[in-house]
Amino acid sequence: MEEGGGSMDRTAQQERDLIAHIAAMESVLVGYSGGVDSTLLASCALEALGADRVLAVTGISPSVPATHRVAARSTARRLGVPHLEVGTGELEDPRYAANPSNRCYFCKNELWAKLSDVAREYGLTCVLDGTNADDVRGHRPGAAAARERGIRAPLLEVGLDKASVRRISRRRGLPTWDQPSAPCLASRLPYGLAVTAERLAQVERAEDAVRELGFREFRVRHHGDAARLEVAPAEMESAFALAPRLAEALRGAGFLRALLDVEGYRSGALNEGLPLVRLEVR
Amino acid sequence: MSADDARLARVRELLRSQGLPFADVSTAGANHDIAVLEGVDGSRLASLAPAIRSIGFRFVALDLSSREG
Repeated sequence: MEEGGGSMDRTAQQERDLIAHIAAMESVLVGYSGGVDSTLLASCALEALGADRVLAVTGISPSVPATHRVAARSTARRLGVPHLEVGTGELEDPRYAANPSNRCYFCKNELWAKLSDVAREYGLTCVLDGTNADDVRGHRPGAAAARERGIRAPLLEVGLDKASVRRISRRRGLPTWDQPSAPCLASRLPYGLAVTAERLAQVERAEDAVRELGFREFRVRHHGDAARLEVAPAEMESAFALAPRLAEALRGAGFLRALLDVEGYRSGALNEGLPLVRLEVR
Repeated sequence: MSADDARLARVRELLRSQGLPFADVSTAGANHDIAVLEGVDGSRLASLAPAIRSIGFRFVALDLSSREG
């Protein structure tokens, strides 16, 4: 990601704007996944407010892969930001487990409820979410849950899109600057297929095995007895070459059929062309 | 002929029209919404996908096990 002089000035200004914006918040709890957005948020919050007024909190449940949990802890330690993990119980909510098209609303509602409780316990003024300006496009039911609970989204509030987040992260030397997006494991199940701890663990086992084979950007989609692997276009030739080992990896995770999607990894592909079935909140 | 059989028949016709008489197709997934191809060279798969999806499948995939020795 090469920048000319003008672009570098703009990135520096965006970074200063973000830090100044957070500095006005007195004290913050950062909803911290260890991903690109929340790591930038935690890093800037630390600079704006100091370690005694910032707490990064990671929500833990079967929908969070163990690799993400380990990475979040490691990155938080490297940043020097105070860090906690909190268990979330979205799987126990039948409205979430039914996996409707607004599943994320119920998940985020549970997450922000728990994190708001922690913020009150620690006397922190604001709870921060890593939503950026690109996230307001597309189907994002989780955003409604954040709005209802008054969760702040500084990256969005100062107008940063994902590319800007990555540029600022790189400028700050953050290890996450080029990290691929990493949605929760429930996103691998098509709407209508119930979310269970067993299915989530199956997807996690399959993805760990595919990652061991050297693939970096991919998803294992759960279709009942079949696993449908989506890999980035740049990795498709490798997938053809490693087909037998990929088949073994997916069957080893408990799937009866191991499939490779010929069109490659596409964010949101499970929901292409689907009528959206929502569960209303009453 | 069931709806599944009709879709599969149309995909086989498509494959034959593309000079792939030995390729075959089956369905997968709880909703039978995945067309699973066998006997098709990897480089041709992606180009066939839009036409196969227009026949009524949501996804087009290769059976990885069919490439095992």
